[in-house]
Amino acid sequence: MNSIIKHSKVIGLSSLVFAVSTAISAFTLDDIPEIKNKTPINVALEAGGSADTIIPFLEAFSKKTGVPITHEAMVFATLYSKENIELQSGTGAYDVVVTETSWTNEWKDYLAPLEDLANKYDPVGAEGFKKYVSGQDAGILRMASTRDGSLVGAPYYTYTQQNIYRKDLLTDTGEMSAFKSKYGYDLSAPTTQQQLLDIAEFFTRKAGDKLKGETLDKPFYGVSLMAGRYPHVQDEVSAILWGSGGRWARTNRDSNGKVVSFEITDDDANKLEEAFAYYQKLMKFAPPGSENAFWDFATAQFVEGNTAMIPYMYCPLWNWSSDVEKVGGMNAAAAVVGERPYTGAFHFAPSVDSKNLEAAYWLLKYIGSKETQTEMVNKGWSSARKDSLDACDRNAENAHRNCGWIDSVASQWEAQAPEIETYLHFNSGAFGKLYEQMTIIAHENAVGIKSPAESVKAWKKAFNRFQKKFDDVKVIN
Amino acid sequence: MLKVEKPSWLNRKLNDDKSSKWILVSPLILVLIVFMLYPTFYSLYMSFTDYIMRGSPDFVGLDNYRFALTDDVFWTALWRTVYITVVCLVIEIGLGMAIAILLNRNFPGQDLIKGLCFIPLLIAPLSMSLMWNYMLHIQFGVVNDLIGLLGIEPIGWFSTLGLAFWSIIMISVWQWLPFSIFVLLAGLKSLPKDQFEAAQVDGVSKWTIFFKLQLPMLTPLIIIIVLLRSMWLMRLFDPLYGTTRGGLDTELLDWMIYRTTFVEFDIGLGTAYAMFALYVTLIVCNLMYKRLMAAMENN
Repeated sequence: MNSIIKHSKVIGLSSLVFAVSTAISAFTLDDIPEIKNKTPINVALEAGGSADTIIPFLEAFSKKTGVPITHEAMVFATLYSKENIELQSGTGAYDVVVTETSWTNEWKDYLAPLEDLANKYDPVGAEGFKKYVSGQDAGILRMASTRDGSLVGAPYYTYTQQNIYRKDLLTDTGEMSAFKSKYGYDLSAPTTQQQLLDIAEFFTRKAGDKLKGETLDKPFYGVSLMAGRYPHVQDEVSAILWGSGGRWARTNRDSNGKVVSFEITDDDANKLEEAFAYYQKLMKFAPPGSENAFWDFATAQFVEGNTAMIPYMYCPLWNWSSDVEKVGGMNAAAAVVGERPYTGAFHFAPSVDSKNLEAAYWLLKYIGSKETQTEMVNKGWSSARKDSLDACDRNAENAHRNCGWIDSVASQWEAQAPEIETYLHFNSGAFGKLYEQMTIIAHENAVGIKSPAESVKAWKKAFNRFQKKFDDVKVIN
Repeated sequence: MLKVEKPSWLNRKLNDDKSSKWILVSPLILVLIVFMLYPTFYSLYMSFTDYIMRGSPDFVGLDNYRFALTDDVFWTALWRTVYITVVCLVIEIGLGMAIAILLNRNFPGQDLIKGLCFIPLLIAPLSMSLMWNYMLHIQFGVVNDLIGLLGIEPIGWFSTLGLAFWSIIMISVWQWLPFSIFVLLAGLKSLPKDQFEAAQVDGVSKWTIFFKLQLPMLTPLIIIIVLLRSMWLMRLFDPLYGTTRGGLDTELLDWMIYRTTFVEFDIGLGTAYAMFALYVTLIVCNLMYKRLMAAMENN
């Protein structure tokens, strides 16, 4: 009898905890308490499809709470500069800023820690807020936190890289047979750098050659790459580098976990040189125009039926890549080679200069909630919430477009999460500047202005200069 | 008895020749001080600091200038800027003169042709560069489609090292050539015709008339074109923004200043680069201005 009573109590308690945690995790507009401060808030947005998707939710929030919201959409190329000026000048121009995860440490003095805001405004407090974010990918949450572990943003959008490839080509029996004859192993989505190189070479063909048994009227290429001087080429190199276990620079911590220094070890320098060299090899199988390409042209090449793979493409481009069906193709997604993609994400972060931090807090909690993100996911949104991605409706008419990219991204998140802590991107307070230098160097390597060895040398010089100038964590030479 | 009111202080000053000039020009002086002199001197001050938009600026003397003088990237950008300035000027003035001469006559449809020639100047420079980026794309661009009809292989206008730089020159000339054309055309139309008619009667050839009579008379206008276009070319930015963004060895001085100041937020170094650009521009403008004054006196 006693054991039955004890067992019942345990079940009852577990059920209560589950119910409470589920209740705490769930969050809708109706859960927002009255916001007494009606000062309007201004929200920065990235211009384009993401702004179009978010704006109706901003309007819904404004209608429910009575807090007027204005927004300013900017192209990504100007987002950092514009927001940086306003944050560092303390103008308060933006109450909520779009923060790319690699800018988090640089802006840590200008963004309000979310747990502090939760303690101040949220009935569930900081502990409740932690449960609310528990559905996020752990790695992305770490990226939205400072190197000291303070969460400053609610991730709402990811552009994790994945390998988007022509499934119809890689499963064509003729192509599979020819590939096996030439390379000695089965044709499938590549999992090693050599396999990627082999597949890229295999599918690079001249006009007049055959593809899936049909004669090509124009050249066909193995890969689409983003080698232009835009902030994408260095993400491709990062995926190659991290996939081989290398780092742009090592993060050294003391016994308390505090970041004390960065260094570029000899091993990292060698791996970086190999990554640069590998990229140059891949460029041979990319279409002309790749030298000045960003994600727009790289994806267009794929959609127009000119390339077999976009091996390091951001997952939001999955939807557009599905248009390859118009030229008789079929897309599929796999993890990038090495399973260590650039896992970029945007998080909404409240500025310390905001005149209405209360409304800013509730807005980003609403946008980043499972309910809102799930609604967005089923419209094709690349959410950073794992639980929302799990809830993607795989039986819907648009399931392939809305959900087809998710599995490979989720598997990469799981593989990469323990390593996020070690990436320079998410530990350096100079990273907004270092990102630009990586872009320049990776581009110059890609188009042959610099050799891989010269590119490594240029990186070391730039890293030393910018890290010392813009951050207080020292560099060990 | 009629009461005569004493004029106000302002009325008295406005009626006084000496004072009225200063009163009327004072708004302009204020605008120049606020929007030109203050920013210029503030930038000069910043160039001697290590300001990175955090904390207050610390004075570092000539460190930024020393860095710039030993920075290969800076010298390369400066050299490219001077090169592009000279090349664009030669093409714009030479071609501009040729087209102005052709337009300096009456012919059917002349108003339409002249109007069409003017169109490039009406397009916003950034829109122009985006438009050309798409039109010249090696695979998707309409220009390569058209030259493909002539059996020519597609050209990587903005994706080939070396050629990308000349493509920037080409689109810049395309936009600003009408400026030279119409300034020179206005000059040609304003030249006194009786001298040329007299020379023709004396059997002087048209080439001689042009080189010995017309060209010297047009020298002041040519110098004005060189002066203005040099200033603008030293600050060339928009053609890069919509096309290569400084990649493929096309980075010019103004792009470098923008990148250093507004992307890297190294305000001290960026303003030092900007001061160098200003000095170079001032030297060129000073030389051209002296030539202009001399040419006007000769004329």
